[in-house]
Amino acid sequence: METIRMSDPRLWLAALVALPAMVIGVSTLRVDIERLRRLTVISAIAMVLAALVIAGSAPLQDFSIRTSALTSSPAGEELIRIDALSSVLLPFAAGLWLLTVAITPRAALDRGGLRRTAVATLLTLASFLTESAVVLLLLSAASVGTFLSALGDPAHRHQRRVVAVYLGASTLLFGAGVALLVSPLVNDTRIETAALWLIAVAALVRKGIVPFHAWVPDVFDHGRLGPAILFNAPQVGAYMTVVLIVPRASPELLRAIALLALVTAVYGAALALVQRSARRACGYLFMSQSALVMAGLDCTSVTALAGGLVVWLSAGLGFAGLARCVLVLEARRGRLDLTSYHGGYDRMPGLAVSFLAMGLACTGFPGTLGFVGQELLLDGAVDVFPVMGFAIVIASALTGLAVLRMYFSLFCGRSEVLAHPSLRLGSRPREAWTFVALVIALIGLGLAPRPLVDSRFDASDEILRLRQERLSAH
Amino acid sequence: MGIIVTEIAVGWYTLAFIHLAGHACFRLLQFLSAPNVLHDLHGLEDAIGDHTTGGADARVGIAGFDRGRRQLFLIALERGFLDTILDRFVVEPFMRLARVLTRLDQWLCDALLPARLPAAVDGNDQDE
Repeated sequence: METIRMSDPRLWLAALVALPAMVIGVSTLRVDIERLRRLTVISAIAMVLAALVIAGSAPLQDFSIRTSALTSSPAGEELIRIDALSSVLLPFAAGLWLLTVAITPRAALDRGGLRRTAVATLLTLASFLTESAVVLLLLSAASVGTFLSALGDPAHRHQRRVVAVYLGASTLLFGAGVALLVSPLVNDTRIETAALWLIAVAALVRKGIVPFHAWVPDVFDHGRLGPAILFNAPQVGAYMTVVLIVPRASPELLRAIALLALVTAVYGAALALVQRSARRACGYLFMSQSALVMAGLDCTSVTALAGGLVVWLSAGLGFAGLARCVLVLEARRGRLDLTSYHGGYDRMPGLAVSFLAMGLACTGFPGTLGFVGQELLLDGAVDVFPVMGFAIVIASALTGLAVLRMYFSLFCGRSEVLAHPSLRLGSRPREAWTFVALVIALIGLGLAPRPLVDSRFDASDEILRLRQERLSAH
Repeated sequence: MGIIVTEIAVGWYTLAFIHLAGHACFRLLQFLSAPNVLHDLHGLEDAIGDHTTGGADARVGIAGFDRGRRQLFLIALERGFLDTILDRFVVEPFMRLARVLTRLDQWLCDALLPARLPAAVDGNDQDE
């Protein structure tokens, strides 16, 4: 009988899947909600640690299960695999789950919500573990369904319809593209090109790239911010691009996607600067950050691709933290508008500093992980697009202005309403510790980025090698 | 600064770096000592009871030249009205365009699905 050792990747994968699965199972029982949250937080911490073990151990990253059942390629494809690309995305997905469950306000806790976070994390994790187009399609459809179920109450019916139209269209296009990609017809270059264009448009809609972006700010503003963060921050659309499009697509297609992404990066940051609603500003900031990732992934330069992969992590964590700060503030003040100065730095200095640090990480401020990513991205993008590459600098500058405007409005000035001294309006220890941990991670990885950058260069080398192999085979 | 750029252009990077560092230190000292110099000057003027430059008599000149000098002083004080020019010709059009695009984005969602319901009540929309 085969014995299972600690160096066996299957053991760690099973742990990663079992933790959210356990939360889903327990959430169906009649457990006290605060206990369920405690269990979820502990599971998320354990998941982060298990994922970090996989990311830090080279032997655990050499694992794959191949099949030819879901593809027309005679060599088959990797149904489940851990490699340089996916190994770092696992702690990223787990970290987003931890951030979500640790910071949810107590008044907003319910079993269904906690279950949805576990299901969404499980789907994201499974997406990051596969390179099969069919499995990615099924997981993508399931995650859209989970997001729609979070918008099920009558107050969010309009946003539910908007999401259903945009993401439904994205899923249909993705389905059509995958159907062409796995059919025997794909040997015809024109069919393959059509399939890749369909998948590319599906990814653009999902990521909110101009001109398919209108749903993102609307859902952030009028929908539910928590599920919107958890759905968007992992950027599964970027994963679809890097796994399905980059290795196969023509330079023209990649160029078109990268140019649209660069335009979106500036557009999102510029519009974030004039918003009255903090939620809507978050939506536009997300568009801008997500577009920067997309621009890097489609530049076909090793440096830009590695930069895009680093920005994926820094922007995902930084943006999720920033938007969570807005949620924490909303729990105390109601909806936030950015046309006046609300004050409150003296009551919650930790939250204010965390907000600024995470915002600056999104901006690419030196000393944060965002700086490393944007530096690499700019270096690579300017080589490929000598003029449009500078859009990254403009987007960064506008993002910085938008973040500082939000910071001044949300934390500076004199509070209009004086709260009774007995009211506790500061952040809770659980929230404070989570934000501090996130800021430490963003600054720590910014000050000592070598291991992460090396692993991202390995991943981008691997992706471009695969692309070269496929192109030379054609 | 021109000499430093020339040094870089001809490839004398070490010299340019030393020059740049020396220049930075010199300017820093100038900035730091500026208040002391002004203070000493005022002290000196108080002591002699007049301007060190010769007082009002030294500034007697042609009326047109005086007006021109005042305008020049105003332009220098307002840094060439650069902030106003930037505000009027760059920032305001940019903000107007961004607001128009925001309305366009909202219109895209509303035109697609017109039946917008009132936004969620505060606190009810904060989960997960």
